[in-house]
Amino acid sequence: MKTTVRFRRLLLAAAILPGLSALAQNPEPDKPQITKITISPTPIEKPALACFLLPEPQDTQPGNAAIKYEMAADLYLSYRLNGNTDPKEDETLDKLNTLPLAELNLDAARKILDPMRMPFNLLREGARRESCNWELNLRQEGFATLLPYLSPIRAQARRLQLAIRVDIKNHHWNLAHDKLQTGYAIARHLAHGQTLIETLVAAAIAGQMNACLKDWISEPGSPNLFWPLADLPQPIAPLNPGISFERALIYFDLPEWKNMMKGEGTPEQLAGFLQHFLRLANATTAGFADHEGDIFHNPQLMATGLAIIEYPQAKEFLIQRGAKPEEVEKRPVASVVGEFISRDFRETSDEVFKWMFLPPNQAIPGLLDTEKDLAAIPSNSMPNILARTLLPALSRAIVNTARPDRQLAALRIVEALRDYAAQHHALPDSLNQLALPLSNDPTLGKPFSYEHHADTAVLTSPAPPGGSVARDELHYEITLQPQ
Amino acid sequence: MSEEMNPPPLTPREREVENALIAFRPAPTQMNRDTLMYAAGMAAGNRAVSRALLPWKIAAAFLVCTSTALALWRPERIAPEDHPTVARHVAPSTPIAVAQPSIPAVPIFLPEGDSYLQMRQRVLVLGLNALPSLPDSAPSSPPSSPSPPQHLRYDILDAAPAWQRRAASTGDHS
Repeated sequence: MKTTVRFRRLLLAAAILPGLSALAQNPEPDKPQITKITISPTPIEKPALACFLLPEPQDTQPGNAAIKYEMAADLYLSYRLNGNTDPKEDETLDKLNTLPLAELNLDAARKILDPMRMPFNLLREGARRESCNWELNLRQEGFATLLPYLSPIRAQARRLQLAIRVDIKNHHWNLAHDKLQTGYAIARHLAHGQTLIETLVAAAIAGQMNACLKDWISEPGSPNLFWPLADLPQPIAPLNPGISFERALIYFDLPEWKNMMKGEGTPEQLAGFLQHFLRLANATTAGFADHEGDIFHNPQLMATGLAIIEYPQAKEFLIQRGAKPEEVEKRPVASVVGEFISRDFRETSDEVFKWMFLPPNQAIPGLLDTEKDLAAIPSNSMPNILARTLLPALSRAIVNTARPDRQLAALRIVEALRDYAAQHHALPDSLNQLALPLSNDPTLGKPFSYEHHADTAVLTSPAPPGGSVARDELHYEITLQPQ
Repeated sequence: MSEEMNPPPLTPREREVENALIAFRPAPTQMNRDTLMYAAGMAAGNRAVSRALLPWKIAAAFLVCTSTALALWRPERIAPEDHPTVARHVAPSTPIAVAQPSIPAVPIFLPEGDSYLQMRQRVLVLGLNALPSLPDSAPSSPPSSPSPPQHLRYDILDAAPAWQRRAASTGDHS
């Protein structure tokens, strides 16, 4: 009988495991996504910045854009909640935003865009405000801060993308240009926020606007955007503002941290720190911290346990960094352990964040190495557990935020090709034949690769280290529209 | 220890209970050992039991087939790009950086919730689709204003949130 039961279990396991492993593997194709762009010869016209892609100072007003964006979000959400939108609208929107422009169904687009008139007006007003301040209370809320405005603004930006595509298809260049300014300005406002997530959303919105530019460039008769593209700020979604606050979040969130760093931590502060940390990492402890009387409900007891475990390592750490052994021995245990935890975490944290202020081509390889080291550290001490829980994987964030910049640099080359074709009725054999100033791929710090075969030019740049070919390799196939 | 070896003497009441318990005798068993073993053997060989196991066997066989098929079948992923893509790869002339796994194998910590730390962890691992989803209307609720708003005042009074409607009705437009 036992054998039968075992056999039955084995059979079930054999049946389920291969399926699960097949799903878990989830293979990603290693081929680049090829973007096909058909261009028509279009010279650069004067004034060169007539289609500047951000609102210019003469068109902006003093004031806080966040208020307008919030109002737009309220209106949009009320339409959504009142049943004015199709439940499958997001799905339809994705399709409409990815179809070739020639196949874009204007009636389907209108159904989505009609209720967006007022939210779009408010977004437009916000985009033309000089500043944007969401008045986040990061210093008080720390890691528990909420960012409720991000999802609505992202959803509206996707609808703005569709509206721009409709304008481009209808050759309403002024309307499309105005909305592009709105989209890029929203991205810039978000990127100057205080958090990394805002920067990532900003980069995604800039990417959506870049996708519209591909449509613009592909459409015959569209004004040449070479100079507006050249004069867009780079990076379009800078990481620095968000990263500065990321580094400081632990100081905001754990009030005991500063004292611990100075070696002035008391047993109560060590207990307070532990309580805070457990609240942050609640998902990891949820399974066994629910019972009253559990050790997790007694921070004093936990702090004592932590001090016993970490004390020998803490003493060694401080002595290695120049403290005199006899002085370390005299100090209270809580102060030694507190200083060890905060200083060791700070060292690890700085190893990650020090790369973030360099250009992507230098930052990405350095960060990848650091992240490998971080992955290898054992979870055998409190600083290591802190590092694993609180430090973000930033190499991916750099690749994602640099992506719109490389797209803009590549699109600028395509516009230079349109100008060249207007003069020579053909595509050049080499980028050196272009008289206009071009830029390198900002992600890699190297020139784009360009090849011209028959009637097609291929503009490429490989995936950055740590990126995937399918997602991160740039590959444009450019053909000249027959005259 | 000494208490265990030399328990205190029983009280008269406890002595009564002890005597009553001593008086109990086990009832004679109705079950014959050989009969029991025979009945167990019959049950094991019964066709009904064998039939009861049949659904398990079928389920296991089905799962084996499905899992083998899943293991062999690799679905084509739809590329999330703006244009249709083709599979041809034109090799760039510059050396290609070798694509490595994007993030080293750090244990993934993906907490639930919408706080900054929780959202950041999810967004960095899963992308922006991990941002909280927006609420949708109940499927049964009919569209309340199918035609698009035409005027600013109409918009604000009809579709704006409560705080705006209140401000409009009280004439407070600040």
